Amino acid sequence: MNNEPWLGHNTVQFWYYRFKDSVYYTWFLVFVSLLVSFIIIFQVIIPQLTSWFSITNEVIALREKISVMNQNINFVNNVDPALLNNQLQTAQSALPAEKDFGGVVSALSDAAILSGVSLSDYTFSVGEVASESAKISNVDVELVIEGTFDGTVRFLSEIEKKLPLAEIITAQGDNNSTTMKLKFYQKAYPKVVFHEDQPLQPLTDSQTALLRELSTWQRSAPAVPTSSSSSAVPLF
Amino acid sequence: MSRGINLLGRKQQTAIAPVQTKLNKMRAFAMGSLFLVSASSIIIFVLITFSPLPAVQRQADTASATLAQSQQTIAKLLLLHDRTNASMDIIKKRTRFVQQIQLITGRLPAGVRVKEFSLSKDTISLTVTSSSLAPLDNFVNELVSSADQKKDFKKVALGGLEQTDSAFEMTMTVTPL
Repeated sequence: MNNEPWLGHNTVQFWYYRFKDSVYYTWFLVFVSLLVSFIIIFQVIIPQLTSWFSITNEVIALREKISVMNQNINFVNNVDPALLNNQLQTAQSALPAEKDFGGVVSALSDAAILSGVSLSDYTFSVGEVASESAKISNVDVELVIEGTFDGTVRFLSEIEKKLPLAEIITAQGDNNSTTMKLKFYQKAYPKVVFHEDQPLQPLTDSQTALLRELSTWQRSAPAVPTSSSSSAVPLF
Repeated sequence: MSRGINLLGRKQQTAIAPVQTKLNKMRAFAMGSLFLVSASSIIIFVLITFSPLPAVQRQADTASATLAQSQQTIAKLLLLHDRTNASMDIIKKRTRFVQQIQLITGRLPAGVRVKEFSLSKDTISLTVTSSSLAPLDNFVNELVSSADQKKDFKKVALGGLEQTDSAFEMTMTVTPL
């Protein structure tokens, strides 16, 4: 004989309805809902929010980068290529990338002609043949000039206004001749690294003024002074 | 009569138990929070999907490509900055011998001339000559007074005074400011 009080007493449906009508069903629902909510918060919402904030930050950064790039594009479009080439040529004459012996000799010769002294002897000290990139190096020149004290002062003044840039280290002499040590500077090309988000800077007023001044120092065919004596004829 | 078995009992007498009310409230709260959390998740997902990032990235790529076409001009500009800055440094740091000599020779009285000179980084040594002592004295006084006032020179030191057949020779060392 079947001992079941009701038909289907042991079926899943029976136990489901029995559970659904009990007070535990509500507790179960509350528990499951809160559990799922927590899981969604920690597994979905928080990662999504993090991703959202990172996307927002990336968008802000990209927009700033685009703004800088657009400024750079405008700046580059407004640059006069001829002027830029001229300025670069002047700057490179002032500070050549390689040892510019020809430029040094020309500068000495021009200075001698303009100051009315003559070069009697000179020696180059080559120094480092290959210099480290972006480092200022120099060519040392030791020379003897023949001329008066005033002529020597004029020569010193002229050589300071010649390209490549030079520095007088020592000078020693009398009213007939002077021995001096000069330093002609050079600078190897730096490794040009440009970052797109780095705003291009226009030349400052002091840089423009310097380039203007340097361009007046650039070698131009000097007029031989008519008053120069035969002893003041330069060797070059 | 027992109210418990009265199947037709009045409604106000079958009030829901307070525990059940609380449970219902909790259930509503749990369901509500689940709904809110799910809705938030969907909203954030939609926001991420439709974010302007891809469009902004395309803009950046376009700008980058445009800028790449001007690479040569940019390199020239950067090189120009590098050269001018270095040139400026050199000009600023180099010793101004000519100025210093002119400051000294500008004080030379008539009849005094420079016989020998020596220029180094810190000092200028001069041998001046004159047929008379008075202009040499004036010259030294001028230099000393300028050094006292810290105007153009830091220090003036006399090396010696020598009398030759026809002239006086004075050796001095001047330290510029």
